[in-house]
Amino acid sequence: MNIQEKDATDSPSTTLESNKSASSIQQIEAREWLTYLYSGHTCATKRDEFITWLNHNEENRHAFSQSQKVWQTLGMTDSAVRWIEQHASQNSEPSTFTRSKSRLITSASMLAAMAASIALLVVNGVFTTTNSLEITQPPTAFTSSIGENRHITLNDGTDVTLAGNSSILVVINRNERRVNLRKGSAYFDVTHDPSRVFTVTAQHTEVRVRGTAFEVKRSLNNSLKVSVKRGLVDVADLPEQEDQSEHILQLRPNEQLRADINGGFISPITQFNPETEFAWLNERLIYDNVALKNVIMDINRYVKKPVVILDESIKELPITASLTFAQIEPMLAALASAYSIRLTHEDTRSILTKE
Amino acid sequence: MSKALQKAPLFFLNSYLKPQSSALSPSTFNSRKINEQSAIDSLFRAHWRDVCRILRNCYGSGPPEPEDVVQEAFSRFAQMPNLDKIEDPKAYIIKIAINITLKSIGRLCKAREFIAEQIQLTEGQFNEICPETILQGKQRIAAIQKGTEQLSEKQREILMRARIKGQTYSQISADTGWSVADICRQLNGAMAVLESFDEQEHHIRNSEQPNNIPSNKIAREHKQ
Repeated sequence: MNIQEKDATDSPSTTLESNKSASSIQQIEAREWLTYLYSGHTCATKRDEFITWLNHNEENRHAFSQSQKVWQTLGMTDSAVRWIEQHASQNSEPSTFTRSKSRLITSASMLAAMAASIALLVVNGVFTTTNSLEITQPPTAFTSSIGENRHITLNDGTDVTLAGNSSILVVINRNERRVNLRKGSAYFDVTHDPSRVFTVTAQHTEVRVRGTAFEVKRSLNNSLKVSVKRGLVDVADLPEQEDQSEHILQLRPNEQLRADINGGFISPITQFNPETEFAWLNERLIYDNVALKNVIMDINRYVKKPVVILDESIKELPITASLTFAQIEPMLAALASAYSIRLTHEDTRSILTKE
Repeated sequence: MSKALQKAPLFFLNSYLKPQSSALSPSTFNSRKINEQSAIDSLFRAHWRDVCRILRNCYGSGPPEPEDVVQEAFSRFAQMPNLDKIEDPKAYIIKIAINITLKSIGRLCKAREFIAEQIQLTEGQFNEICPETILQGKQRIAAIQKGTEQLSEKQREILMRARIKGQTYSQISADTGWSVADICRQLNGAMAVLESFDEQEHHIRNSEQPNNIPSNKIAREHKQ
């Protein structure tokens, strides 16, 4: 068996020999497969080899299950908590070191020299090689604050509306138009440009258009919802491995698709009511038999103090309601009076529990 | 939904009438529940900022945002039975928060799903070993905890970066300067130690005669 990376200095067979005295071959192989599968460097061929190994006999399956349980349990130990606390402290500490005055002077001279070099490079770039100079453009971040939608016009003319507490990263240059939805929900009215595809990525899903209007929304459990208002939209699940092919579905106006965190499509293409779905663009929220947890997720984009449901039994309660952003507080109070729900206000949050 | 519904200012359908007596009578409130709620509120006020800081410094600012994760962690914590049996609530909340964060890393989700499919575990069975349900598995945790204390600093660092921070071998290598081959070797050695402690705990639990093989002997053999 050669599970690990090819450039690894120790072949698994060497490891096998040296560990035979301590545990069974099955256990050794099982843990090597486990650490390989979580390594972040897997490939389809190796995964097939793993399946063959796992199904070779019952001992292999048992050994692997044991390794998996140990791996899972590790996250529940106090050692894990201590480690993450220390790791967080180390990461937050500023690097402090002392340097002699002469060293500082040297550094200052070097900085001055570097600045001069950069200036020369820029001058050369501008005046002699303008046609070939490629500058990697950093993404521009746009964020909306809690409590209000934000309207942005990108420099290709595309209009974007961010729902409250949402964030996107944008790169637009002569070759591409790329947006990454980092959180929340965004509605795009894309300017038609046949030479540059407009792509919106979120997690492992990518939406590709040339000119259309659609919304991409992150939902609970990091699932994603794409809703098309106008034009045609391609939605692709981005494969983790290069050797995997992507799965693309095309959405038409008033069609909707949901994807999970891995990009897998978790629902068939469905129809939706655009007046309900896009009501938030007009500062209204409309729900027709929507689970309370989803209503609260939307509401939390527009209230300063987050609302938390602390009772599992009411999370799926179907809500049908229509309200403006300004009516959220009365709506919460009305919830409490209409249903067997208790609303408690604290300093930092509001809590919904079952009465 | 009708147009009329969209224009309506604010209302609910599907609501049902509250039982008047229970709605109005304070005697219906369980005092223990109220005490628990009050304790959770205090915990939240005392720790949420620090837990957010820990998550931000370890995993970055998201998504998912540390504040959202911590809210969810407190919410799940509040729903756990036997809260009074938890000795260190803050540590527990951190464990739940780690679990939530790691579940949002697509690569790890795919690995978990692949493994669950192959060993025919349902998501529920996979989640049996998660902070919200782990109270039943105290002995196993104690054994693994003991195992982690036997690891070398290097083994522990690599193990925690892979398991708790969710880093790939390449990311660990880039952060620490250790080679990928060395990381593989150390990780397998560390897992061998933990498995030996787990196995010994299993024997003790299932037999009246404790296993005579000392785990620390195995630990020494795997320590590098």
